[in-house]
Amino acid sequence: MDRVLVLLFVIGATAVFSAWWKARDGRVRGTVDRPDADHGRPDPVAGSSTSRWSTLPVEAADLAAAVAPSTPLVFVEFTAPNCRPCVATREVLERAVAGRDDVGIVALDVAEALDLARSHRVMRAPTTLLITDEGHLLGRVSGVPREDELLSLLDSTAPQPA
Amino acid sequence: MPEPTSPTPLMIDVRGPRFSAALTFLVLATAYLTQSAAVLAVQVVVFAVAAIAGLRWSPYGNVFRFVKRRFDLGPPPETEPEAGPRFSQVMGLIFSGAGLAAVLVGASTLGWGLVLVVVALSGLLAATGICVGCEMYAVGQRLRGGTA
Repeated sequence: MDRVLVLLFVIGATAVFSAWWKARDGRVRGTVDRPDADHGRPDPVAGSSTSRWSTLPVEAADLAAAVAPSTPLVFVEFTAPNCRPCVATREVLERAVAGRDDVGIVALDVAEALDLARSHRVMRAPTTLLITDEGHLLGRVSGVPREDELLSLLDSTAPQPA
Repeated sequence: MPEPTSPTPLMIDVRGPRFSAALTFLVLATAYLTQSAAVLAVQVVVFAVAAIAGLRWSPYGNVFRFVKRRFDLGPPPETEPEAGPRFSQVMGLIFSGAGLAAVLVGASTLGWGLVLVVVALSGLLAATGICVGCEMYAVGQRLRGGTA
């Protein structure tokens, strides 16, 4: 009887994990401090920063140096060989940047970019980061991104007027 | 040693791993409930065949192919490369093999604890399609490079 209870507990814990995973999978976590975001505190960066973007102090200078973006914004997708969701992610990214010349896409194999994957705590392939050519991290998605959230992330990171 | 990446990896039906996971879940849950090292050993052998010989030889994979033919389940809705699911079979082999070893030397709480990890992960894959072992593939690459 105890063993049945233990087994039911394991199944319940797995269900909780599954719900957590699904709530996170493909969701865009932005690091951009949106003026309209209801976080009840003043923007820590805007006005004082020389950046064109208002961001929280989360940096990806190492990524920008490695990728050497030719566009102001770039999606960096961490991939693995034989990774089916990585291919799906690439397709979503390409649809999201279609018609925009300010956003590029770069794929990095996790196994070949170990230091970068480690410094950005990439635990899954695919994991996609949106960075600026100045080395700011604007957003992060693990799993296949939801396209609507990618688009709203891109919209919210439009360069501020100089 | 990392395997050389073949230009045309073996592609498998995405339903196969979920079907196999459901069988794994049932077999290991039975082993745990009856505290049967023999049933556990059967599952360890199944993992070993799939992990070492490849999914082509996976016993549960062959059951799935038989069911597919017998009940005419139709063509795969999607295919995926073998590598991720095969890596998850390696993970299953490590956990259930260690569990079996622990049970056999008398550390049965530890042993069945390891088995319950596999029960949870195979149940998760069967019920939702989330394959933690496949996801760990990227991390595995990272660790393998990191120890150098």
